[in-house]
Amino acid sequence: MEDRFMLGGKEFSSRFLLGTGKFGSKKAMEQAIIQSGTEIVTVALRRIDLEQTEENILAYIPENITLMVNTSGARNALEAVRIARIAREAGYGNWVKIEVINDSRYLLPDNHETIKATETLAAEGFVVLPYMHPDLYAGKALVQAGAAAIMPLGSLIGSNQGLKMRTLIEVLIEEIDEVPIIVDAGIGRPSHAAEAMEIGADAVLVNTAIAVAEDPVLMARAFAKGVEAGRMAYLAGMGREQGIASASSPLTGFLYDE
Amino acid sequence: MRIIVNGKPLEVKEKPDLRDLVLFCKISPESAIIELNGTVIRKALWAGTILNEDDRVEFISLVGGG
Repeated sequence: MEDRFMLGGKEFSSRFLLGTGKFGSKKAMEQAIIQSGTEIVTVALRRIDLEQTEENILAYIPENITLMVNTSGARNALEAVRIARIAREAGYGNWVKIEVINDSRYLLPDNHETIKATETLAAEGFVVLPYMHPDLYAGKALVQAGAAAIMPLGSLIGSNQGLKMRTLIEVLIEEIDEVPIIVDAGIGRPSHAAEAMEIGADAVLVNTAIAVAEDPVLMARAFAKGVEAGRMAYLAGMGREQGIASASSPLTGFLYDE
Repeated sequence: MRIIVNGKPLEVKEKPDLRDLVLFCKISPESAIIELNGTVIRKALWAGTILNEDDRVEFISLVGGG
């Protein structure tokens, strides 16, 4: 079945984006990337710790993977823009996941600053994928600002709570068709990923649920199947929910009929 | 002389260039990004980019993130 996913002017066959944080080992991360079939991974920029040597993460990310640097740590639009520019100038491409967060307890994205950063970076030629709170007006403003996709949170980052924001995400899917909708954050199980795809999300981004699993590589495979199953169900067209039963077997020709 | 590296003061010899500083700080050059006073300096220019008193250097690298 031909089901190509267009994002940022590129064509992908996987609708599963993987975050690279929190893995117990880089080897496990590398295997999770390979086994998940993902074609896009997120990474972050941080100061080098001068006290200890850290392995180069790029040595564990296959070359055909599209790298998307996130702006985690940014507290406002200016800081996000700075991180994106550093990444591009350093040669890590022009894909950026905007993440502007002020609140350390819930890690909720600041839509207002995110829109400002998107505007600036899209104008500079970046492929901008903003992580956002699923608000319709913010979504429209992000499209207007030049976002290549919008990435509403399913639930709080790293919470594994699934699609707590489902109704609002459905509104975005219904109302915004100019760019893909990628559900990011909070997806804790393959069934959550399947649910996001079933309701018509174009892709999902998962990190914590895979990285902290006892067997992250097996979990990556499980998620890949969840994403694929949900997508296929969406394309197949699901039956409607009903309040009363509807028999699956014929209601005529019963053996006790006269 | 004193420069600021990753937000902290560091005493270095007079007028080192960025390549000297990378060696001094034992940074592995393959994965390092250097920002000098807010501008990224490409690796090819590290040798010959002379540091001055109170310059701000950031050593940055890619790490895992979601």
